[in-house]
Amino acid sequence: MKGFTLVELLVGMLLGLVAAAAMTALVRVGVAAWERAGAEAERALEIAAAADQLARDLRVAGYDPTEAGIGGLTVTARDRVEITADLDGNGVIDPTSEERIGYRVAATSRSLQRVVGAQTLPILAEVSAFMLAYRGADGGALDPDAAATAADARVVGFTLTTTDPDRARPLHVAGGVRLLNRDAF
Amino acid sequence: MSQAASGYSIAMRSDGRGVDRAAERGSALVVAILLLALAGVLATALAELGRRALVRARLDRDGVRAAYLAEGGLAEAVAGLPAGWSFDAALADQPTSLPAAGDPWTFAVGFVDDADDSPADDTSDRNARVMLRVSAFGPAPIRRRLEAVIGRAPDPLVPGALTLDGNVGSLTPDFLLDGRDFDMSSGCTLAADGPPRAGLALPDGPSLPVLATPDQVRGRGPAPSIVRDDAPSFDEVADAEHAVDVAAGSLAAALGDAATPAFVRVDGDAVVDADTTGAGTLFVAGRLRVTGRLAYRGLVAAANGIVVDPGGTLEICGGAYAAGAPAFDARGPGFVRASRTALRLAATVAPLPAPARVIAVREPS
Repeated sequence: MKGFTLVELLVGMLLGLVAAAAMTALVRVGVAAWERAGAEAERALEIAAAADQLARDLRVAGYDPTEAGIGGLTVTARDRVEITADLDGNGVIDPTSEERIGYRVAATSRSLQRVVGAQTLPILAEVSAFMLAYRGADGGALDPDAAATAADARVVGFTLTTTDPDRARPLHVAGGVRLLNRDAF
Repeated sequence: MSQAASGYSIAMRSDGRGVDRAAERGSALVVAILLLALAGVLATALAELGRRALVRARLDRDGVRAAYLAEGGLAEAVAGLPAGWSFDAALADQPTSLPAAGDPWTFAVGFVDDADDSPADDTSDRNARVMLRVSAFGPAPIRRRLEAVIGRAPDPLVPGALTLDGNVGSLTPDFLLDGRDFDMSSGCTLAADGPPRAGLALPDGPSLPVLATPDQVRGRGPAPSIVRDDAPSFDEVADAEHAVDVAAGSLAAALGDAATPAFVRVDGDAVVDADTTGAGTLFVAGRLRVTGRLAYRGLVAAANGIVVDPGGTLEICGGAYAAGAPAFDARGPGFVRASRTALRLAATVAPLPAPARVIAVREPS
């Protein structure tokens, strides 16, 4: 029987190595794409969840079943907001509970923080922009830093941007929340 | 053409059969199959990621749509509540628990009494306040809920300075109806910027009164300010438990004042035959006849008509309501001037009909 010659064997091994290298590169690209897609999907979920949490808190701002005069927004600014709601219906705000919630971005960690009473909870990492806008009953834009904005705001708009530290590709979410407890009905 | 010239050769085995040497040695097919399998896995994975993203986007979109549906349901439910004081009818008619699921893009509404009595009676509203729960459904598992505290507006539903559930008998030129807002505390003078009402509100049916001049009935819109509007029900005023009941006949000279308003209810016909003042709510189950002078701040209501005799004077700062045939017959001088502050004062002592309003809303956790 005739076997392989040495040259055939060497060429075969070489071709096999080339094919294996090509497959390895291909698999690596595929796995990287898989991981990137998964990471992006996870980031999208995280930013969507953070936006949803912010929207839910804003919607309940000013919940005041006893009509005790709970304002709803106690701090308004371009980059932070504080919300109050009398959730237990006792007529007063307990500042150490979920009846007072703030949102801001930490300067050092760049995380969006949900401040519940005395607790600070980071809910989104790598935040590159967090901007808030306030609109009055007539739809006109309000100055976020004006003292009257807290009382006059009927809609709060927000823009949240995260930036992937590896690829620097930003991910945005924007929304507007009508304050249900401000003459919405 | 020879085999060599055509670019391929056939190796001959000892048995004489031809064998394709290239196919025997090559790995292209195996590599191709592996690559195809890998590509298939990657494509499937990417398709799955895309599908999940699509599902997520649909859930988000449907959730937002359901949230707006819940808001719409809340607004519709509140708008559909009749003017009144208590929410007993709503508690009796509506389910107290909501279904956990429903057809897509529908909503369910339920009312629950708050803790306003002890022992608790979930069918009776004693403080004009209930909880309204709304569940809006999208395609399963989408559901958005709202929970609202519903109360009554501080301003009673009195569409005109004089609101009638009947016709006008006569209206002398000396009797004026004015739906503009007057200030109760300054002698019933015209307020600066109060919202105007109609001078006269009539139901569909009765003919318009004969006026000396259009300005005899002023208020919202051009004179004469007369609107066709169904009068609200005063049944809860008639049946209220905490009224000061007085017997039919002549009324006392004082029926409360601005500092201590009173809810006086006359169980029959009433006569004002002297100089009488009052503040708050005066409800007459029969006919109110004025032969003397009645100066009142608040709401005067009579279930069987108000009559001002030629020698009488009726001066109301707030509002008046009357039913009957005729519901109002003014043959003497006077006025009814609308006053928001006076009507609010009246509402502090009596369960006057008012529109429902949303006090507070939240999404239950």
